[in-house]
Amino acid sequence: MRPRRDTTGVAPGGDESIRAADDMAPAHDLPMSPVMHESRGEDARGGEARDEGGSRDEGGSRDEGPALSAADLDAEARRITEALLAAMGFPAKVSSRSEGTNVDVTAELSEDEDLLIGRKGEVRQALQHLLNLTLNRGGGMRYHLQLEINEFWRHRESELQTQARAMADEAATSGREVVTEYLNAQERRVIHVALREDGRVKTYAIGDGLIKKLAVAPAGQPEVARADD
Amino acid sequence: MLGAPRPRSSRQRFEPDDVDHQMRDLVVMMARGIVDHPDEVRVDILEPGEDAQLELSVDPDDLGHVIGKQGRTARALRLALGAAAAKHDRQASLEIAD
Repeated sequence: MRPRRDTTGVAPGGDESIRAADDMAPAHDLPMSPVMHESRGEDARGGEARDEGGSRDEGGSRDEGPALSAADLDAEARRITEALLAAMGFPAKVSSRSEGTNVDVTAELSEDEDLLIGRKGEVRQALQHLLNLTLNRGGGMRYHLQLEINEFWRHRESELQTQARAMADEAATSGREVVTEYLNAQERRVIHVALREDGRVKTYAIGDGLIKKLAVAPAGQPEVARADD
Repeated sequence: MLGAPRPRSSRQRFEPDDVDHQMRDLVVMMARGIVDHPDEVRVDILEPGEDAQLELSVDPDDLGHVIGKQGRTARALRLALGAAAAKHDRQASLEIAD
């Protein structure tokens, strides 16, 4: 049996908001009541025996665990990342740093980083998605984990910023829309943000689904109506 | 697997080896991290070896969790498994039982 794929589109319109983090955020298919505040006083993230039957709500919604302290969030993010990479057979030195509900995790490994990053960073993205689901298993999307592998993302980010500036120049000079390759939400966000203050151009996403292209167009120009490509 | 007979040499091994077990354990571990019913997670090695086939079964209530919006989580599980298998110069596919 093939797994089902839900193909309903997500993007309501051509434009997308700058809050790319939401697109990045793992989301569950099951209907979940927004927030459950009746804490049972147990650490929902602890792991094994969370299943006590009985007081479940419809839709299998989960309890929000107590908020994690910065130190706990750090430790938990590091623990689940180390466990995942070890299970995958990639020994790595993992460090983490949290600020509020965000936690940056860096994995340093001396070999096979290409495998762990993947084509266009898709494996890194997948691991980040799985880690976010694991980190937030007890409740909604409270915490956001950013996974860095050997500084891959920092390089990618500055590459995209450079590309954004070049595209803005080209759009402003030529008076025509310039379009990127397919980018994920996190990558698109870098370009949106890089050009937010550039009055010459506007930026918008093209297509639907999680991976879209992004257009940089002269500020005065109406968006080109188009069919998805 | 049925069909034209193949030369004996290219026949699949039947017994899973350490790498097959490592791949299975990886999927178990990843799935347990994201479901509501970790005890119900089961992974079967349908075919071991160079081009392995694994099947993940979860509690029916957890299907949505392991598939995810637009199949995103299922895809993430496959990518992670694929990277782990590639480290051993292998491929591994993952199906989700429903």
